[in-house]
Amino acid sequence: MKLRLFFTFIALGALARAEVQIERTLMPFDAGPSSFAVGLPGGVNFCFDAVRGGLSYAWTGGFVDITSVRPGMGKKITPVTLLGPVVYRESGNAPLRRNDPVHPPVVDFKGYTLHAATVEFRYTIDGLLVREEVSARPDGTGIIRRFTVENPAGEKWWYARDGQPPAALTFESTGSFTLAVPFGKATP
Amino acid sequence: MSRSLRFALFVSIAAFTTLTASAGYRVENVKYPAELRGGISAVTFTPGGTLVVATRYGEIWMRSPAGAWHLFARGLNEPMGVVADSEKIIYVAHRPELLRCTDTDGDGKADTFDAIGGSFGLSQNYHEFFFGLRRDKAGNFYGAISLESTGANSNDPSAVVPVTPQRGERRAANLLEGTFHRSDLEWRGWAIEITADGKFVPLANGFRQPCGIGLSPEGEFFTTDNQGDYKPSCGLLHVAAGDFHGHASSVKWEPGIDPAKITTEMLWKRYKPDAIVFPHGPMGVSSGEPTWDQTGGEFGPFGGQIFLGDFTKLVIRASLDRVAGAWQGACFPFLGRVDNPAYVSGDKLGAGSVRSQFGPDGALYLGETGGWGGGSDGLQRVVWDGKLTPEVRDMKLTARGFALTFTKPMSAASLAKLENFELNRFKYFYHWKYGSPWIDEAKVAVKEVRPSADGLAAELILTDLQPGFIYELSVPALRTTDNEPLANPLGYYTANRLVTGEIAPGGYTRLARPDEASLGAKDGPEVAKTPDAIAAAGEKVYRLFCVACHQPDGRGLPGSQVANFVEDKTRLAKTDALLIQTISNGSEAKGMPAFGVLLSPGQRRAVLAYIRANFGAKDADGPK
Repeated sequence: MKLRLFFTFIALGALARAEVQIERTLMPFDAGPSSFAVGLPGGVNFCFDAVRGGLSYAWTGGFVDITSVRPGMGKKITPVTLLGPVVYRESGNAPLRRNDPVHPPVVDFKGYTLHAATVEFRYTIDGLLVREEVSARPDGTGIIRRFTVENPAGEKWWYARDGQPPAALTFESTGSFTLAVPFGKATP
Repeated sequence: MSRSLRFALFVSIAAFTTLTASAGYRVENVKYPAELRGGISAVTFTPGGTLVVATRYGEIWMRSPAGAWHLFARGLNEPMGVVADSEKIIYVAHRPELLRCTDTDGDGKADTFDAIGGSFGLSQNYHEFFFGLRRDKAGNFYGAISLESTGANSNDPSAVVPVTPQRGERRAANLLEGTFHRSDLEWRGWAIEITADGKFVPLANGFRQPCGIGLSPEGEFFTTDNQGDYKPSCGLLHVAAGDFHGHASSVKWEPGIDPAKITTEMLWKRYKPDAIVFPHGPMGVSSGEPTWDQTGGEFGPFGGQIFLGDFTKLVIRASLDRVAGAWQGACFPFLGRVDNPAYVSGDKLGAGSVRSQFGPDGALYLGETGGWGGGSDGLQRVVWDGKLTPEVRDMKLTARGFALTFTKPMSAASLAKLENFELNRFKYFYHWKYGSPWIDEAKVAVKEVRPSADGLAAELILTDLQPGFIYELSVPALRTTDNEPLANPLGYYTANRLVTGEIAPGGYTRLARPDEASLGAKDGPEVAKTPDAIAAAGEKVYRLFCVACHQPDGRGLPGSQVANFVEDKTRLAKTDALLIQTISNGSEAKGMPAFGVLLSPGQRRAVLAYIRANFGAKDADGPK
């Protein structure tokens, strides 16, 4: 019974969310300062860390309880609470790399744009502008990251997570490349 | 000011509030939707007259000239300043950066957010504010980066800022630092410029919590800063590239600096004193955003002067004076302290005012936030009703003393009496400790008063005019030709220099002598011993250091954590020893400073006696 109520709550929360939600705030799991909590329609949420330079983890269900960092909490602020299980995590500094798969690049955050069901982040990697659009899989089982780079001709791009060999990224004919992030088993 | 005169001043204000019926200013609560929640931390207007409000909840709201509110943006990180280009483009200073928020599709909501600049250190320290925001005619932005808090209200020099995930370089060199606020991450404690093309330019350092950024009508950069370590009081600071404004910690980010070679004396010799000091206590405890009256007379007779809120229930009026090439000047209470005074009508003035802006309607808008150990949430506007309030309009330095002007003619008889003009002066310590006692305090004799024929001005000729002091003007006995007392017969002039250009090193501060270096001020031979003397000393301390938060009636700021001695009997149901301990050590959680740094043991005992006599019970252990 409790489980059914839980899933009913999650489903209602997901249905009720009609637009992308953002909170620049204090996030858990050692996220960089002022990381993004992003909630996509459908109950897919993720943490984008502009200091680290990438998507750090994802959770499903409800968005965040931000009470712990609200005005009035004084000097005892603590990270927000994620309102759902974590289903993806990665670590490693500045995982998107240009030409050199080993050395972390200089990442300079430039901004973001909210669309109906997606969010686009803009940042430079070693001075070159990257646009990254993040969307949820229609069935809510993962995230799709689509990168667009200005003048990619002759460039090689890599994605380097801690504990894994750097993965070479392949440009599509449109000049973009896509990274699929399937969700795994939920963790607390 | 003598105790009797302070009391007379208080009585004068109180009497004026009940005996006269004229008004001058009306305070109005500006209603906003419940969803806005309060926590207002930025206020401005678009060129089209739309009111723009940012909140500490990370939202930007707009109210159209017709009165309709809507949410423009959300999800920001504690914004502290806004500049509005239009109803579609708003620039925001929030914790991580300067952000441009744009509504590209015209639906009333920002959808595109561009990080314009802000290459300063950032961590998860709760106290890392990015205060702003102003833009000059060339499109360059100005703001200031606050220090981190150690979260330790103690004198333990080993207290450190917690290491958390961070942006930028961390340099934890302990450069003469106290333990309260630090610049462990780069550029914290600096005033900065972000150029129109996004270049980050650190301009000046030595700031602690420069909460209120302002540009004068001529485009000069000013900011307020808040009392604390290395900051004896709040004040208005004139900022120019290369300045050092007092707090030691941020000096470490100057190119080529060697922290090991820095001494307090070296810093003091570089110290650019505040242009206008707002003496802690009578002029508030935590000053907000300065805004210049450019209303062309719509706000009354103070055109060109500066208005700003204080976190306590107070609005300050300040007037700059260009003396020998530098800015200094005077400040006066404007609104506050006394509820519903005769010259103010409408709603009760709120506390927690950190932002002030003049609107297109000529009214002064006050943005108020709670949540910092006091204050209350609200948005208010102050409107002039066209009736002149009797005030000292201005106080300027002359070669021989001070030139006063008044908003209404003063009676010739009242201006003729030397004893109606009381001047007192004092300095502060420059030290790492939190705040400072008043030191070198002395009465200054007025040798002659030279009134103008119309009673609207008078020059005070002093026997001894010296630079490097704050001069306190007290004129409660002055009367207009209609026999009205002044609404606010109190002012403070910061005389860093004389018109001849003569200056005092460190302005109104000096270093402590070896015999003054102990914690807090020492009791001198004049320490109060008789009951009357103790009562007098306690009343003075309460009025100077306690009244802003605990209020004249001892009930504390409404909605705050400040002790309400009258209604909460538990507050004084403790032994003298425990209460003296609280006065000495303060309370970090409740935002109460450690007054052991500021007050001598005799002063602490005296103020407790005053509080018990006026608001509460005797020592819980009974008479001794």
